[in-house]
This record gives sequence, structure tokens and C-alpha cells, in this order.
Amino acid sequence: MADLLPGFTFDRSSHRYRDLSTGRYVARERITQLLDTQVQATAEHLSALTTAAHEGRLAPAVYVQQMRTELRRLTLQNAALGAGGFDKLTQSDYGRVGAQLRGEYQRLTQFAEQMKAGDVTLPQALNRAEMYAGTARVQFWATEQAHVQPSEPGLVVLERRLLGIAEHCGDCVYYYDQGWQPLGTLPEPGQESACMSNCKCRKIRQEVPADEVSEWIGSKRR
Amino acid sequence: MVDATTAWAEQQIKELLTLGVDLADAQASIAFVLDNLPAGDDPATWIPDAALLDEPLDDAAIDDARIAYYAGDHIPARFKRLLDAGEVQADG
Repeated sequence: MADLLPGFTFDRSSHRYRDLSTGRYVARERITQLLDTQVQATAEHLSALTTAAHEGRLAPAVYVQQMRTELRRLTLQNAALGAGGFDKLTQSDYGRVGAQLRGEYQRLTQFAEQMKAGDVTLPQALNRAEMYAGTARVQFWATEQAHVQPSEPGLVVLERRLLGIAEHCGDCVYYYDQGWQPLGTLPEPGQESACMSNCKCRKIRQEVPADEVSEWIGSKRR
Repeated sequence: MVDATTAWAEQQIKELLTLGVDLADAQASIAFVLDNLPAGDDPATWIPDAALLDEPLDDAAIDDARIAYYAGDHIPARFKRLLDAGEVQADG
């Protein structure tokens, strides 16, 4: 009898998932769609929690604790998606995720204090909730970058920023204009940009022979 | 007779359920507050210190994230097992 959920494998050399039901690689666009779907669904949930806290229906400590749970889950899921699955996460990944979450918890308690004091309007609070989810998105890109290596000697991994569907800040347009760059050169979407964790940009990668790198750098060729 | 803390806890659990939080999570959130509430503080207004929120990212945290991924309504059934991907070294 056919397995209803036959599962996936992950190819470290190409850094791609393979769907065992079809034998095909999962398109990168599908992976980033899953990332965005996951982040958006969590952002909506965080917004509902935040509205309840802002309206005084949820106690601040209950709000903070539930937000912590949701952010920890989303951040770990995004990191796992970038790594090739939960069991590919390394101690280094845990360290990076943990450091990000510690910062988020600090901001979350300060935010709860501000809401309690009446210093934040509901639209401001909802924007903040969306940004928490956006910050968790960064871990997909950061973890992916940490795991990607050339599949063979003599190849170089390049990366490129693409603009998402959004109003773009000047920083993101600048990163887009850089075209192809060596892996690790361009900031992760959501970092080092005026749009911060509202960023909707993506990154793509390409392996090229080392002796052709100069032809690619700065270009937008496919 | 229900004491004030129990009544507060029940009301907060109801609110969390209304917001789409499942019962186990709702109970865990209330337990966290009541377990850490300093003596004499009001659970309705107390805010925990950020240091209290810090926790190790251990196997339990991974299992929790994994189960939440399976349970996510927004994850298509076809991709529920994506993050359990086995490993292959080369294109076969």
C-alpha cells in the first residue's frame, strides 16, 4: 500500500529537498513560499494575541509567555527549513537562534511594559507583532547560508537579493542592485535595512566555476 | 467557592482558547505565570523579567516546534514531513 506521506530527503551537496513521492527536487520557490506562509500565519496569530493584550483581555504575563512559545516555535521551524530539517541543525545554529530569541524576549517584556503603561497605540502594537514574526523569518536565510558550501572543488557559491512584493526601502534596492555577489556578502533579508523585519526580499544562489566568477559579480544574469 | 486566582486562571484560559491557542498551550502559559509569580504580586498585572523567559533550546524545544509544524493548518499535507527529511549525500 502506498505511503500517504512518503516524505522527503535532503541533499546536502545541492542543498535541496527531494520529494520521495515524485522523485523530484522541491522547487526553491516552493520552499520560500512555505516560509512566507508560515511567517504570515504566525503573524496573524501574534496580531490576535497582541490585540487581546492591548485591550486588556489577556494579562501581560500570559501574553508574554504565549508570544514566547509562538516565537520559539516559528524561529526553530524557519531555521530547520533553512538547514534541511530539524536533525540538520547544529550547535552553532542553536547558538544563533538562541541569541536572537534572547533579544526578542527582552524586547517583548519591554513591549508588554509599554502596553501596560498605555504608551502604544493598537496600530503600533500590531506593527510590532508583525515585526516579531518577520525577525523569525531571518533565521531561514541565516541558517541556510551557514549550511551552504560549494558542491565540488573549483566551484564558488554566489548569492543575489531579489525584491519581494512590498514597498521597498532604499537599502533593499541597493542590495538588489549589487547583483550576484560571493555567498555571505549580502545581508540576510530583514537585516541591515531600513525596512527591518518587515522585509519581504529573498535570496537566490548559484554555483559557478571559480574562473568565471568575475563575469558574474555585479551582474543580474540567470 | 472558587478563589480569585482560580477564577482569573479560568478566564485567561478561556480567552486563549478563543484566540485559537490549544488547551495544552493555554494551560502551560497559565502555569508559567502562577509558578513564577512573586509572592504578593497580581497575576493580572505582573510582567516577568526577560531573564525568566530564557531557556535552553533542547530536545524538548525541538520536539515542540516539530509538533507545532505538523499541527499547523497552513502547512499543506504534502509538506507536513518536510522538516523530517532524511539525508542523501549526492544526487542518486
